[in-house]
Amino acid sequence: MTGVIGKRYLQEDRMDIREVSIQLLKDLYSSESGLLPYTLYKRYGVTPIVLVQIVKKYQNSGVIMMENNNRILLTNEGRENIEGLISSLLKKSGGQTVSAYLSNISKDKLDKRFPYLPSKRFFELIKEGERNG
Amino acid sequence: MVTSYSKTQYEKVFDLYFKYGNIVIRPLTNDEQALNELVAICDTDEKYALVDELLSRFYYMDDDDYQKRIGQIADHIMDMKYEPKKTVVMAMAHDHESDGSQDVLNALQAALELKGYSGFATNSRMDQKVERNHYNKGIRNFVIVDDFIGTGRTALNRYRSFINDLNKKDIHVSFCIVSGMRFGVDYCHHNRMPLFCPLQLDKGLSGVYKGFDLSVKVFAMKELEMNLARRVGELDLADYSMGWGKAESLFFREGRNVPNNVFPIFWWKKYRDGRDRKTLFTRRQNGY
Repeated sequence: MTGVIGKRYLQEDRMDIREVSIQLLKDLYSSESGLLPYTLYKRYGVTPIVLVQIVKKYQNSGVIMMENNNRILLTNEGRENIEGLISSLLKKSGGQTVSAYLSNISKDKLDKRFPYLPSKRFFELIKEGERNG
Repeated sequence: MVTSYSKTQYEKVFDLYFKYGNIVIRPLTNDEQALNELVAICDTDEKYALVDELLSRFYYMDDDDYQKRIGQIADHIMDMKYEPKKTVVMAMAHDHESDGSQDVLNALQAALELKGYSGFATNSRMDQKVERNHYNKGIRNFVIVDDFIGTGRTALNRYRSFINDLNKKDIHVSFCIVSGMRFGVDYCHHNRMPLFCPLQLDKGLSGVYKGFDLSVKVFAMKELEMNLARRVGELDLADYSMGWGKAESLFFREGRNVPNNVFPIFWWKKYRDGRDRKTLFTRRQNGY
């Protein structure tokens, strides 16, 4: 398990939209039924506004779509071009090669039996949110 | 500041920003706190639905749209066939304070020149030495401009004062206002005030609903307003409930002061308990 899962992009951090975009595309690639915005918040702490900016960008270019129930999905075109998309994002951030990155997608996927525990602060924030209604 | 979201709140903020991102986030700051706070005071689905609905009907005037309306006003002035040398275009400002009307005057004089209407005079205020500076120099046509008309009462008062103060029979006075409330324009027309307004908007709630449906919406809005401070500076919320003059405006011009005719939940800057409130739109006026 790499340190990617559980990494958070809270408002107090300097958010790297490119990095969040890579995570979003990667997660959508792994998910056939799409993901809810709140799921992405829980995973990465991405704020609604940053998430909307990313979604709109990729929606306008035909990579992802929003269903009526607000689920975010990769389009067929997006799924076919996922390598190119992630490759261009990785190049810009000077990271690893796309083949190495995509090969990690299956590795990064959580095993159902994996006793994943987010940080204590994560639970505090979620509870705080629920208290705020 | 870190905001922690419940599932419901996150979905609501995401949804509003997805649909109305062009108006709900101040471009310079990209500040989402205002949207979070607006959603947070919507403690029932009805109130959230009301805010959602009002945002969907907001008229957001960007710079291109503004220039288009300025062009319509320029065309209107030319259609009136006022001889440029006998015409002054004046901002409706009546004191030394900066005012949206001066913005209109600046844009309009460029548009008129571009259309070949040259030689007219300008004045950045309508209250100063009009007889000496203009009438005595042969000006007979007075075009008075502003950016927004709400109830129409202020514009009508200025028109009447201007006519009475100048007290001349051989003049033409015409008002040109970029945008405003249809009922305010109708009020001025009903009182025989010459007024051209290329963009007229209906009231945000009573322009759409009647009877019981309207009562339900108004009740929800009044409940939302219960979250706001009764008074900020010299301003009483009661005077601004549903917007100044009960205008129920849903209008915002990019990068400008929001009209006080807009529902105060979108710009009133204090909570009932005195805390500062981040708002979608910014209002600056004396005493506030």
